[in-house]
Amino acid sequence: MGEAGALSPMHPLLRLLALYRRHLGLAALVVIGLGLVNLAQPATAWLIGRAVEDLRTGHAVQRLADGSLDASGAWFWVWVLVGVTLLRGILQYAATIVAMVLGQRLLHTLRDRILDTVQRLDLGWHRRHGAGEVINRTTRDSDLVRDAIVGGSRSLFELLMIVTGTLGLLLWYHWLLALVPGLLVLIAIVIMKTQASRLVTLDRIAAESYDGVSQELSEGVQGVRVIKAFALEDQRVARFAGKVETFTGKARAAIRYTAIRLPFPQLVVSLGHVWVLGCGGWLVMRGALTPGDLIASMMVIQGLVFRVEAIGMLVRMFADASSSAGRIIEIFDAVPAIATGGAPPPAGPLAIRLEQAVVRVDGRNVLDGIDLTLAPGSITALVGATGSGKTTLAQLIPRLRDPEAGRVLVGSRDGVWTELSSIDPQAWRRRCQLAFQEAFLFSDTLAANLRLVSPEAREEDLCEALRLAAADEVAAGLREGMLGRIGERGVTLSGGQRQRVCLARALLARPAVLVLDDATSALDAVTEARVLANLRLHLADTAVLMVCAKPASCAAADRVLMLRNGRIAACGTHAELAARDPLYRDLLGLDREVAA
Amino acid sequence: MSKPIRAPAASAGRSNDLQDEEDLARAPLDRATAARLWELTRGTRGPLLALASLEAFMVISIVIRPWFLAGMVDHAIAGSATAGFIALTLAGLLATWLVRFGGAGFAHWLAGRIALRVLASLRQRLYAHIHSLSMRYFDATRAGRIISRVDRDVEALQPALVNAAPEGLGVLLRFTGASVAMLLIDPWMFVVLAPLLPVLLVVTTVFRKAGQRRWGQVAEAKSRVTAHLCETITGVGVIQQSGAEASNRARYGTLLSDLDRGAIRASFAWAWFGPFTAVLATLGISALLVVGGHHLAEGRISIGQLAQCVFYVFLFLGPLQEIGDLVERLATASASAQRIFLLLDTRPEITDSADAKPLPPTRGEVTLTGVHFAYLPDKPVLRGIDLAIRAGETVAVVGPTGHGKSTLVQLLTRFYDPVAGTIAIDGHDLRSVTQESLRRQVAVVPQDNVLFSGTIRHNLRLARPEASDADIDAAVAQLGADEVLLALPKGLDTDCGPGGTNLSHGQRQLVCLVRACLADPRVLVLDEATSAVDIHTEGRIRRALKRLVEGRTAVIVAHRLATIRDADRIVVIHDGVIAEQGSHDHLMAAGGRYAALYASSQQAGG
Repeated sequence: MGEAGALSPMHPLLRLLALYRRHLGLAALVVIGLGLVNLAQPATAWLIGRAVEDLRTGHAVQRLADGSLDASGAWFWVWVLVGVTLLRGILQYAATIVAMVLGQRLLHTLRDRILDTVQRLDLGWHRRHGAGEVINRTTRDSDLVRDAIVGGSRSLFELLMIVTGTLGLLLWYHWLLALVPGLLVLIAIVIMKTQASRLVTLDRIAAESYDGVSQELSEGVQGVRVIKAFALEDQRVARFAGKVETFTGKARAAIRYTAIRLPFPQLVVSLGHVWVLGCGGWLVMRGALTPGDLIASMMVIQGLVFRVEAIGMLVRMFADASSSAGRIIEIFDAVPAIATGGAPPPAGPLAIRLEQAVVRVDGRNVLDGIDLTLAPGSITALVGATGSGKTTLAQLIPRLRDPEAGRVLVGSRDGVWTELSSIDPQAWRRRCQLAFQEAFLFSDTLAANLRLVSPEAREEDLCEALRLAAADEVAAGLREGMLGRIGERGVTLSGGQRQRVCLARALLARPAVLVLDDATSALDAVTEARVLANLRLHLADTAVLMVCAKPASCAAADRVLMLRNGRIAACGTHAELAARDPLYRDLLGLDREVAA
Repeated sequence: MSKPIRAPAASAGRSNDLQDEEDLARAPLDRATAARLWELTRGTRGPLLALASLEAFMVISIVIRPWFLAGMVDHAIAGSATAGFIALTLAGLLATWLVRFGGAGFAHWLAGRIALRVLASLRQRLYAHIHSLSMRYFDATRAGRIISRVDRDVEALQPALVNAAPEGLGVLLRFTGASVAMLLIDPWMFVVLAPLLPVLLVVTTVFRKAGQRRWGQVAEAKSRVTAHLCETITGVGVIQQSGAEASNRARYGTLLSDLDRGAIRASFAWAWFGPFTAVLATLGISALLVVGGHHLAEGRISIGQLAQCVFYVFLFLGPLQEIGDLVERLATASASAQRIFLLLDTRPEITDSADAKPLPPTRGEVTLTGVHFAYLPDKPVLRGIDLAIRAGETVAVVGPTGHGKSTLVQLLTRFYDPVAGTIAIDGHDLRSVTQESLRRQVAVVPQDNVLFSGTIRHNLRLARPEASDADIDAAVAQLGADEVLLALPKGLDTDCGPGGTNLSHGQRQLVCLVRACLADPRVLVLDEATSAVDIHTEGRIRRALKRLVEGRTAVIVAHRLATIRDADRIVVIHDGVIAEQGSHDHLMAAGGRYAALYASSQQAGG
């Protein structure tokens, strides 16, 4: 009621309310059902008023000639009242359940959309916002929005019906009875409208300081090993306590505001109750209103005042929700930095070419004009000092990020070069696999982790991929083999084992282009050599870019590129570079080996 | 201490996180939670009492209100309502509303403050408790689940902890007030309403029982949804790379549908409560009309009093709906409460023994005697390790991946306890000293190099809070990490971003390494601490470390064999046992596993 007026801070919430559009049929059913249920309330009051009036005038319970009392009139009212209540009860039950179904569908849509949006947003966006904040927005904020768009909008609608029903009944009795309460409700709405925007601000401040709590919490749980290793427990606990206190302070401010301000509009409406008694009593004295009608009036207006008490909660709920909705809408409105191209990737073996690719991070050119070509069936090693942009370069190829300037091209067997930006990124990533530096496994079975890239892969394919990645012993080591659970809450795998499983996952896709972002760093030399040999043998047409550091890995590649100051500083075979480039020798520590 | 636990997913294919948590807490889920919840309000009992008194006071204003109506109706019919009488009645009525809403505002303020206080201290307590738990707990429990305990579940407690008692009291008092008022007006009215009470009690009990179970299921389904969402956010890169967006979404959809079904099923159970109370109230009114009608006809009561009683019937039975709401909220809260207590009941597997002493300053002599270890009872990882590391010695641990190297070094700081055998520092069994004092002298740089949000400097200072900026600069330079870290746009004042994501993997490793060295430990344990750093930088670090570890004991796990060839001793772990050990030259001459490993790493002519 009061909220609808405060349109500007509610705007994001209204956008989320538009989700109702998808379920118009159900929504209509709920509106009709709940509308009838709530109109039945003044109707019941009216019936009780009539019954009391009948009692007063002696129609309901009549003294018969023999002096006994005939209560058949009273019993008539009993049956009417019970009948109406039963009907209303059945309707209410049905409407509540339909409303529940509608609510769950809305939430389903909302949650599904959140996940869908979040998982399509680019890595840069995720890096900027941090997992804690994103998790918070997608759980806490969406819960608050849920309260408003499901419970809140229902209460709002019911309130509307109650106000209409009450004022309607009063008007029907006497226009004077309805006039003042009607005006008072309007005044209360205006007061609440002015309060709402301030409340939204206060709640937004509180919600933002809660982000700090979440971030601290999630880092505390994710980084537990480090915390233990350095006996940082006390320090982290104190820090968390501080964040909680900050949040508590901000939330307290919001509560103080509501506690002081909300009673005013409520009092204004309760004046209506006083008015109905006074005016009603006067009308009864003048014979313009029956006592039964006065009683019914008092019943409905009292119901209205109590409902208005709930407005306080409703205003808060909507205030909370609209600040949360703003934060969720921000996610919905975030545009993935990777624009979708429509073309399917070319078939067959592929080559990759970067032309003058530039990537800027925080105003600094991390990559400053990269030119390189990866031919099908070749293994290219990429080396560079820590922080020189190797990972950034690697992410250009599967289009996990786009260059700010320059082009990335895909070449097919017939010599046609297509710009990567015109190709559908999802389809492209099926042909171009990147194995991350940090091996991430989902808490699921080994098979499910592998099948991520190729859901229809047969068990033999999985075994073959594991074998190629020299990870066959991982499955053998699990009690349930392929169905053994790994990841966060599964069996603990070593860093090297995790890397090899991720490698196997990449190989399972039989990619045309494979990018290994230091994905073999935790493997010992023998295993690494075995994996590379397998690559050459079984993925003979695949263009491989391998970010690495070890001389042995470089030597196994056909060609080595050295990244320095955002450019390719040297290119050649390992032997060539080792022979002529002192920077290369220094980077790989070759001189030391000789000296030792 | 280290009882072997069952495999996290041994329940043959069917994953059940709740079951896992239950096992880990080693306590059943069904337990009386009310007393423990009450325990949480300690420290806010005064304000709670004030809140309850306020509710009681406000009830007076409610019970007295119909009395004004009765007076008005009777006088209006009799035509005896003077202007003075009307003014007085209205003033009285207005006063009841003033009390009501003034009190409500105050109560809201009070309840809000109590809630914030209780929830804040519970969150702090949970967080501290989590950090007292051992690694196994974190191995077996999803991070998302742990987070939602402190986050959502605590939030859900609020209605039970703060609002339930005062509201319950209010309901009780309103009920009592209405009963007394009716008894005074017409005892028969009360007599005919009384039979509704047992019905009410039975129904509420049934309702509570059904509700509790269903809401527990809904909360559990919700918890799964949240966990999946958290994992998606954490692994978003892999999902995008795998093109698994659609299947991941489909899986989330299944979880959501489970939640939908659960919530709708639960609503079938509770949705009849509202209509039921309405029917009960109507029966009450009906009884009143019949009895009141007779008494009115007999002249025992006035029409005003009859009207007054109509309102008391609503007061008498009105709380029903509120009880329903209260019960529903309590059920939701109690499901959360049980999970919270389950977490609080989880005892750390590794604790300081009762007579644990701080580890005195050590020389750094580490002795492993017959050490066996297994994550799962029947899958041994270490099978009898005997190793004596002299004080000041640098020992490198090498071997194929997955053969127990990381496990071995994690035992040195008591992240896990060996299943059999002992580990001692300077002759002190690790289990006889406090964990904190142990970890102050034994610093591990684990493989997962997590940084916290804040600048690099802030992260480094974690290890030694009193370090000055100059100390930190010096430590970075001393370790040879300056080339890389100072090349960052803002040098050591670069913001690491949430979880350290603003830095590259190698940069993060360097920060972790410097952090460990700043802690100035007697025993430094490096588990693949430079695996993502370029070899040039690694070389600088290796040379720097050589100076730094002088006089300290160092245990280094590395795959790049070049980095450890000048260790005092190299220990080759194969399949959970020490296959061979000795200096580089010694092992090369022996021509065993190490020589083979080394040859393959060098075969490229590096």
